[in-house]
Amino acid sequence: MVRFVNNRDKHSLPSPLPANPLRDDALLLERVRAVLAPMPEVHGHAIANILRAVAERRPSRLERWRGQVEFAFEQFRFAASPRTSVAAVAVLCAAAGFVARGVLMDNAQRDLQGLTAVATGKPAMTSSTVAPTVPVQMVGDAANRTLALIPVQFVLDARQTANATSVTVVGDFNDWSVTASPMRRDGSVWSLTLPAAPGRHVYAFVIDGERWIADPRAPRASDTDFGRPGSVIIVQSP
Amino acid sequence: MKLQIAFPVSWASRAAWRGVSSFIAIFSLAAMPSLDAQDASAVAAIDALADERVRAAVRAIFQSAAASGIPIAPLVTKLREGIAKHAEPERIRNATAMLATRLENAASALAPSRSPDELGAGADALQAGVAMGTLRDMRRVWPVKSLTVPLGVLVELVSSGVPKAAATRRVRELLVQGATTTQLAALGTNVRADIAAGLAPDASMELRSKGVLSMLIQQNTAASSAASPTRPPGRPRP
Repeated sequence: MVRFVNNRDKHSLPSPLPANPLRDDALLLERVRAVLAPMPEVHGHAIANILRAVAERRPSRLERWRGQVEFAFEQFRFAASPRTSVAAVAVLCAAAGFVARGVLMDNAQRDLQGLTAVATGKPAMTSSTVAPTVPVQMVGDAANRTLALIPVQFVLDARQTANATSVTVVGDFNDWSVTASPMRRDGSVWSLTLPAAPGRHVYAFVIDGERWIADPRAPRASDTDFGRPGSVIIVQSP
Repeated sequence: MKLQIAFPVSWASRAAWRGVSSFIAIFSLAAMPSLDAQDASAVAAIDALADERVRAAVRAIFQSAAASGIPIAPLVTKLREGIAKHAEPERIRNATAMLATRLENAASALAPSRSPDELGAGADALQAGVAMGTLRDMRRVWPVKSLTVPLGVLVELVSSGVPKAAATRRVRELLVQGATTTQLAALGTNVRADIAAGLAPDASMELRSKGVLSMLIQQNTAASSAASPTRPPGRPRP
């Protein structure tokens, strides 16, 4: 009696049904009969037609490309171990993730990292006629909700800071860092240009790292939570 | 005879599942660092607080905000402001907690926006006494464009003494007519100047906003007439 045994026989569970040798033999005989049955007769000219059609049919460029990809995939499948294939998939996914991260990353963050702004000398709108000189550049799409940074120039008359050795600008645009944005003295004026997002910003000047003053040429901020003087500037979006 | 049929789990399907799971895991890891950077900044700011009890309280505020989907960048900025101004830790905690509440309300009113700038502007508006309903209405009027600048101008108008109702109504009208942020910022500047020159805030608001509105209406009329199809003179009708 012929016995067909699957490779998984050793590891598989025993069948819950009782073995029936008679039924199995009948099935086997039927399959052998089917294999040995004579093939139907095929006309020679039909075979010739098929062969000619196959020979005439040339694959398109896409089909050829697909075939090459499938071939490479099959090669990889048989040549590479499962660990290698997982590692390859992981590398591809990491690359895709980094690309997606670059695309999805907040525009404002990207602007902070890479903005090379140029001042155009156009005055920005602040809430006072005696506003500081604030050149702005109009960039980006107005419909974009996350707006590009605009360069803003801060100016302080040096006569108001007699004997000052250093003046810095602090505000919500530089996370209130007293040391991050030192102003440069040019004759009788301290000045500095910083990128800021469109909107309303509160800021102040810090003299010699200790004394906080509001910008005398800009409107005062009314919402200072911590009691120090501050000024307001509204940076307009393009 | 035993004829066992095992369900064929093909290599391709296993590889596909492996690939999908690897992709999800590695894509998530690759996309995470921007969030990590934000968290690191927040942790550094919290660690700068001297009082351990306040540190724990502020950490809880941040965690709660992050869990609600509120951007924590404005909270970090507020925390840094308090530290830079050498405010009492308890005062910093209170200011941060109140800002978190305002941000949550602003996020609810300005949904679906999650832009830190826009929500920060919304929180400032709420602090200035603008109603949440007004924010919702402004979002309806400007569903796509950023409300950061209009809200900043509204806050400044209210801060300079313009009655809230009048300021809100006029800014809304300007938004409906399609005013640019430049025009809105100019309105704020002019009203401030008028008030500094001695004009009543509400009178200045009416005067200046009507000026901008008439200009916008003229522009809109001209644009609509230019857009309507006209037949060139002298040409015969086809």
